[in-house]
Amino acid sequence: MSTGRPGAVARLKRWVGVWLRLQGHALFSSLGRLWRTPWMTLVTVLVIAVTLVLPLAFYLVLENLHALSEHLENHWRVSLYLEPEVDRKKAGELLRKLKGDRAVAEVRLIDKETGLAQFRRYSGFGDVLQALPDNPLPIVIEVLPRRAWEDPEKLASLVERWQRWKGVDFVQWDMRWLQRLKGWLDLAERGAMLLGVILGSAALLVVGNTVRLEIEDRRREIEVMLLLGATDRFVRRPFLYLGFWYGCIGGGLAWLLVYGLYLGLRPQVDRLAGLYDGLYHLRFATPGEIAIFWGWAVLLGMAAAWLVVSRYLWSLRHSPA
Amino acid sequence: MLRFERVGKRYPGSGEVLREVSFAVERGQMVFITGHSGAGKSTVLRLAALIERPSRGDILLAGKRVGRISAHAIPFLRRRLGLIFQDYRLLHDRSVFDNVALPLLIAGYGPEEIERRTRAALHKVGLAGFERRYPITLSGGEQQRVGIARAIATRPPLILADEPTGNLDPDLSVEIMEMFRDFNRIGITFLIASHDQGLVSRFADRVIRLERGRLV
Repeated sequence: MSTGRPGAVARLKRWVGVWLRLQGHALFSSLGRLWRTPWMTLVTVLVIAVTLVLPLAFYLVLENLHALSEHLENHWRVSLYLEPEVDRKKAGELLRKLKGDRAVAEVRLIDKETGLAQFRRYSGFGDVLQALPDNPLPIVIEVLPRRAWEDPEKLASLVERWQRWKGVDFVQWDMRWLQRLKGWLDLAERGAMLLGVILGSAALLVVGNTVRLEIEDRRREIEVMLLLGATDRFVRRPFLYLGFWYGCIGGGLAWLLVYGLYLGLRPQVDRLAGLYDGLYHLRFATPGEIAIFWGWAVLLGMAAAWLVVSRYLWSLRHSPA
Repeated sequence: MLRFERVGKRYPGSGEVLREVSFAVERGQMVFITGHSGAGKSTVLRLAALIERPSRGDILLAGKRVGRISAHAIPFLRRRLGLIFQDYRLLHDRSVFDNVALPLLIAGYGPEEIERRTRAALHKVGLAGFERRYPITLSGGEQQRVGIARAIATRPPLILADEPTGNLDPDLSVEIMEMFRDFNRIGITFLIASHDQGLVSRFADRVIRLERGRLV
C-alpha cells in the first residue's frame, strides 16, 4: 500500500499539471484569437452587451421602486373619518377607546380647524373653502397599529371593526394603494424576468452563432486535431474559452453601459426625490449583484459555445464520410 | 502490431469496398498496400487509423481489439499512431514549429518537452531552422517533411501513410521513402499505401495487393 500511494499521488500531480497547462493554453490562445479580429470581436461583444443592458436596467429600476415603496412612511396608517355631526367631546371618547385597543400603537386627532389648515396648505383649493359658510371637514383620527398588526389581513379585520363603530363615517386605509403598487411591481418583476430570459436567449444565440462561424473557419484545424488524437474536450476547450471571453467582456460592458445610464438619470431622480423631502436616493447595483449577473453572462457564453461545439462534433461523427 | 481479421467495409449507397481482408503487419516491418485507385487502399488505412469502423470482422492494434471500441477510447489509441497524408494536412495559419508541436500539445506534454521533441523531429527530417516559417512558403517536398516530422514527434511505434508521395515528383518521392526506411531501421513499423510500382518494389519488405476490395 505504501508503495502504491506515492505513484498515485505523482500521477494525480502530473494529471493536474497537464490539465492546468491545457486550460492556460486554451484561455490565452482564445483571447489571442479575439485580439486578431478586433472589429468582429468588438461588434459581437457590443451586441451581447446591448442585449444584456435591458434586463439589467429593468432589474435595477424594479429594485429601486421596491426600495422606494419601502421608504414610503406610515403606509400602515389608518384614517378614521368621523361623521360630520360628531363633535370634539364624542371624538375624544372614540380616541380613548382606540388608545385602549391593544392593536393600536399611536393615535392622533386632527380636529376640523387643523384639517382645514392642512387642506389649505397642501391642496391649493383654499379659496374654494373661503366661499363656504362653514368648515365642511370632519374630524379625523389617525391610527398607527402596532408592529404585530402590520399585516394586510390583520389590519383589514381591524378596519372592518372600526368601520362598524358609531360615529365613524368611513375608514381609509393607505395600505390599499400600496398593495396595488406592490401588485404592479410584482407583475413588472415577472415581466422583467421573462424579458431577461428572452434577451438572455438572444445573447445565447449571438454567442452560439459567432462560435459556429469560428468553427466553420477552423473546420480543417479541428479535423487535423482529431486525427492527431485530440479528445472532444481538447477540441471544445478553446471554444468554451471563446464563449467565456464573450460573456465576460459582454457582461462587463453591459454593466458599464448600465452604470452610464445610472449616472445619466441620477440628477433627475435626485431632483424629483428632493420634492418628496429627499428621503429617497437612486441606488446602483451592489458588488454582489454585479458579480452574480456577470457570472451569469459568463455561464451563458460558455453554455452557448458548449452547445454549438458539441453539436458540431456530433454531426462530424454521424455524417457519412 | 496490426492485424486485420476478415474485415469487410460497406458504405451505404456504394456497396462493399472491402471484402474478407485479412493480413498482419509485424513489428519493424515496412509494408506497402498497392492496387488501382478505388481498390480500397485508403479504406484499409482509414480503418487502421480508426477513422472508420469495419462493417464486418475485427482489427487488432497492438494486441487490442479496436473494431468496436468506444468512441472515447479512440483519441488515446490514435496518439500511438503516426499519420501521414497525401495532401499533408498542415495548418496554414500556424508555423512549422506549431504544426509539428500540435500532437505533443494534444498529448499533454510540457513546454520544455514539446520544444525538445519538436526540434528533434524537425532535425530528423532535415528541416532544422525552418521553425518560424509557414507551410505555405515551403515546397511540396518540404511540406510533406513537416507532415512526417509531425507524425514522428510523439515517437509512435506504427506510422500509417496514405499515398505520401502522391503529390511529389519521382526524385522527391525516393527521398521521402529513404527517410521512411531510415526511421524503419530504428524500429518504427510502416504501413504505406501507394500505387507507385517502382517505389514499392524498391522499398517494400512486404506487399499487400488489393483488387476491387479483395486481397490478391
